[in-house]
Amino acid sequence: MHFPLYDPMLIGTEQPPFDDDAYIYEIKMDGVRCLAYLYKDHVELINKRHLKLNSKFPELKSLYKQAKKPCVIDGELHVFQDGKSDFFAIQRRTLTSDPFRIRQHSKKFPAVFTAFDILNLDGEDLCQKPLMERKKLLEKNIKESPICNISRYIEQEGKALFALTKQQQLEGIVAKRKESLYQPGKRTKEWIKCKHLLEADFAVVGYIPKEHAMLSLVLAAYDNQKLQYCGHVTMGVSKDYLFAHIKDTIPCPFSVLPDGNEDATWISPFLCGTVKFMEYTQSGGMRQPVFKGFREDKQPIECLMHQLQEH
Amino acid sequence: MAVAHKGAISFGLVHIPIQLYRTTQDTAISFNQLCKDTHERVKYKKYCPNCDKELKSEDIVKGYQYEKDKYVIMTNDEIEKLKVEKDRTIQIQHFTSLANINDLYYEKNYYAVPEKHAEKAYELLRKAMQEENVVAVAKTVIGTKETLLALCPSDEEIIVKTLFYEEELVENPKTILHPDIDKAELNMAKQLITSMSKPFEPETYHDEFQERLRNAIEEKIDGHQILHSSDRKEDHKTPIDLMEALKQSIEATKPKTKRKRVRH
Repeated sequence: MHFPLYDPMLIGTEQPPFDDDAYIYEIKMDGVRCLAYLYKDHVELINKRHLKLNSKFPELKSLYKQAKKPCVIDGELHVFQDGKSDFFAIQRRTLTSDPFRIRQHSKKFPAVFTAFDILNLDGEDLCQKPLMERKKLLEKNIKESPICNISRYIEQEGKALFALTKQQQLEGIVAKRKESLYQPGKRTKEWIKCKHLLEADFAVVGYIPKEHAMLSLVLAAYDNQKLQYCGHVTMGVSKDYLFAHIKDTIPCPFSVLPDGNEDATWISPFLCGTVKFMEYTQSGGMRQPVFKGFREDKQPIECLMHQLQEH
Repeated sequence: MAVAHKGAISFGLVHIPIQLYRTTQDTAISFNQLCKDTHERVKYKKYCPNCDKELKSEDIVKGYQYEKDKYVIMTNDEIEKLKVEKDRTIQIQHFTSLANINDLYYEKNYYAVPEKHAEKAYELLRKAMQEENVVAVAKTVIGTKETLLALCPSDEEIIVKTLFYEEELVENPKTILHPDIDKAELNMAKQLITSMSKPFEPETYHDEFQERLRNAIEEKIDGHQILHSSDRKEDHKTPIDLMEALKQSIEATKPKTKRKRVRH
């Protein structure tokens, strides 16, 4: 048997937490979205961009043993340490390709798979079944283990769960409509995220060297196919990744050089990065921006100005 | 693995957007140079002995030495003007039998992966080339270099091989003699070959020096880590602990009577 390749269903909107009987609420694990194809004798871990993650996570090689019958499960791949998932750790794991470092990190920062959905069971496509039926099938077919667990959910009490996740310094919650069907590859409002910090994706268009081996990244987003300047964020850890991925340097892509960018080296918009921040300022800038990391699953051209405003 | 190149195969009127991924990775351990006393990373400074000062990148120009101590200067603008137009299209020039390309021309391999909606055109090209037993000779620009390519069909995908230009190949510096061999000697050699023949199993071969090096480094790292393992927080050791704890604390505060349905 060979499973068809699925695209994960995507969260369509972000809003403040709410209580509603028609929804279930789950903890949002801060990791990497991943579909696990559990065959009889092996597993294939595939990310949103259809890249295989198997070689990056040798510790999950036996994940297929957790399934009673072959199935495709949807979930979050994350590194759980000190009581929460550590996004920087899982990010480093996905960016590492040296097998020796992978071996090291698989022991020091082992990844776990938190499953929250099931798309196919023994060849039968489940996407047309409502969420709560899929949840039951998931629970029935997956045995938990140190590398694999099933996402817990609660009904109705979205606000209370949101408050608890704040206490635990977690990212937030996801609300899902109980009756919702699984729509592969679709960004739908059946799934809603409620987060403590805002987040936005930008095209990385340049960098400015700073003291102590730090860099400022110059950020931009597309508006009518044209790049618009969106400010800076400081970056430390992913420098090697940045330099390994720079295609070429180019002249400043903006018609007017924005202030504070006199020392910038401009690069072709090829990389996409995520920034976390407290809130938007009145002028549309970000308050206390922190660089979260590069996104391999998104293209710069998908970083749109109007999407940023929707948050 | 990151995309090494993005482009599109162009073949007559057909245009197939693809991404190239590397087929190999460097697995050798690399070391950093450190100061013996402080373990600080060694830094390089560019220095002019004549001015006795450190040079910044804007103080440096490119020169070609045509005679001892004599240079012609080429500015970046001058070099830029000579570069080929950045055409990322992989232009198929012609098709040929694989046997027509001498192995010496092959440099690097890439997996070519079709972009969304290009799968069918890609499969058509792969299958047609495979059934005709041909490879495509093509040109493109990778980075800033105009590159010659061979597109080779395999059972799964199209492998893109970069080719050396003829001017990059050097001929064997010595002439090999071909002394006469008599039949008995040849048969004996062939027998030896037959007795030593078996399938090639690449997984049985490893760089053993690298392996010993990795093990030695790993032992040192593990030694370091034992010293740091005590400062972990112990509540919620696993995601299950965390999820169960949150779920239970919500259930504990839930009022006994069923709440009114809340609309938002």
